[in-house]
Amino acid sequence: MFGTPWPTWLGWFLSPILTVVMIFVVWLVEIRKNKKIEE
Amino acid sequence: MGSITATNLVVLIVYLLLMVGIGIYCRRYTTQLEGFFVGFRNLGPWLLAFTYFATYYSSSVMIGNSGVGYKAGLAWFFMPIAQVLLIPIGLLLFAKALMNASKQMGVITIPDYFRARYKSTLPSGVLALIMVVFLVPYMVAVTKGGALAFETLLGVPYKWAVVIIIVITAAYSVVGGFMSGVITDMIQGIILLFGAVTIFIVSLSAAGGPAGVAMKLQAIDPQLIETPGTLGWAGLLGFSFVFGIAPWGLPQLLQKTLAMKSRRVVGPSAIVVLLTALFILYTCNGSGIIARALFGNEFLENPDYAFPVLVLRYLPPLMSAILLTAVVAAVMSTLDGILLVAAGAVSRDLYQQIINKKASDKSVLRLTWIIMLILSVITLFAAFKPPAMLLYLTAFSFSLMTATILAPMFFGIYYKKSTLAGCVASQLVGITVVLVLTLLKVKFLIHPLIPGLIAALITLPVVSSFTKKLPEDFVTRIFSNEYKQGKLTS
Repeated sequence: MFGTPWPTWLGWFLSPILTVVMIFVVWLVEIRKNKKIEE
Repeated sequence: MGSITATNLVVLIVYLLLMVGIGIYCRRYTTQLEGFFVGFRNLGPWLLAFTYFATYYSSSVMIGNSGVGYKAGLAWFFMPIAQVLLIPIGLLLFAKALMNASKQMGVITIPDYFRARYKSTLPSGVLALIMVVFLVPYMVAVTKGGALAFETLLGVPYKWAVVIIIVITAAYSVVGGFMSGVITDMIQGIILLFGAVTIFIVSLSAAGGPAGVAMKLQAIDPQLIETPGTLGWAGLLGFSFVFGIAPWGLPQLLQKTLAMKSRRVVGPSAIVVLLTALFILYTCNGSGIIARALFGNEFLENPDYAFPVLVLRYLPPLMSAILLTAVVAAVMSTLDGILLVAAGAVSRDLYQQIINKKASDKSVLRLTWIIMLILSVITLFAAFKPPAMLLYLTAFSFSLMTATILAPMFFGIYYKKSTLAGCVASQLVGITVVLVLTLLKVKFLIHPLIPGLIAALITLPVVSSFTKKLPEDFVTRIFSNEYKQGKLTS
């Protein structure tokens, strides 16, 4: 992609993808759990 | 390189006056010791996230990270991965426990947590000493980096830049304490993000988008579009890991979590910190890479010029003035956090808890102001002409503090059988490993922090297994559900 080898273009997308994954993890283990405790 | 223009001057003066105004506004929080150090524990998710973000990322993220990007090429886009993984995990692991200790055991500094958890002033004294010795050189290094950027971008003489940075930061920190640091961090964090994203978009478009950057880099040196490229996988992922794990043990960041208003703050703030870290790293690293595509090898001898030159060549005057302010903001937001925890280590943890246990909170508060002023004056003169020894100390200040704090804090929260001897042994082993490897310049496991941390993490449970346990009723109490839900008081 963009004329670069695959490990390079993977690097461009990896941290944004990991960010989305981590947002989901935080929601799952923290925000959702807190809501359940309050209910 | 840069020069003083009316626009630069007006934007900068407005910004500096705003910071001082916030300091004065926050005076209401500083009538008591608790207010001065944890702002009466009332931080919501946005304030916590931005103060955490702005305190961790100083001007070195704009100047240093983009400098490495300039040299390393596209592989440097890999660097943020450990930080976006580890920073939110660190908040999830430690923030609630520290908040509980603050609310239920009256903890107001990080060494104070060690005293309360291990029922002794020995581990808190060790940590406070380490903080005083190694945070001051770190403040000098941060000031020096910011003042050099200031000089390059604005043309202000270096010494004047140092004076402006230190005097304004000390003024609002002494007057407004923790809360002035938090509110100024919020504004500084927004300016920092705005500046970094703007220069990234403008320079990327000037270089012809991602494909244009890749094409130009390949023409300069085909290695620049390879991953891991010149850094190698060990270098790339190792340094990414070190800068991702460091925030877990930095007292100026952990201090912020003591002031959370409730457990519900952790989740949303972890998400905001995660997003801000991604944006700042991606754009600052990227700007350096794009600078190489635009400037070729022009700054290979001095890659730290890549970011300032991008700003000066590609932004109109008003935007360039805001970017300059962003660099100053990045420096101040880091300095204010360090100044507060370094002064607290002396006044609260060494003086009130060890030297004079009868000292009243009022007298400790007054001493804190005096220590903050003394530390500011030391930083000011040291930054004028930093002694080589002082700058050498900064090379391992990060590692040393993380290696001293992380293991006793982790086991203090999650391991019932942790003992005082285990805690102190782990601190001493962590310090020794980091110092020896750094002083002997031994390259082992990429960075001295990694073996230092591993050694400290192994030492604590091993020594705890055969040393005197802490009182049973105390341990039961701090591991009870009532305590974890914040229903106990000291």
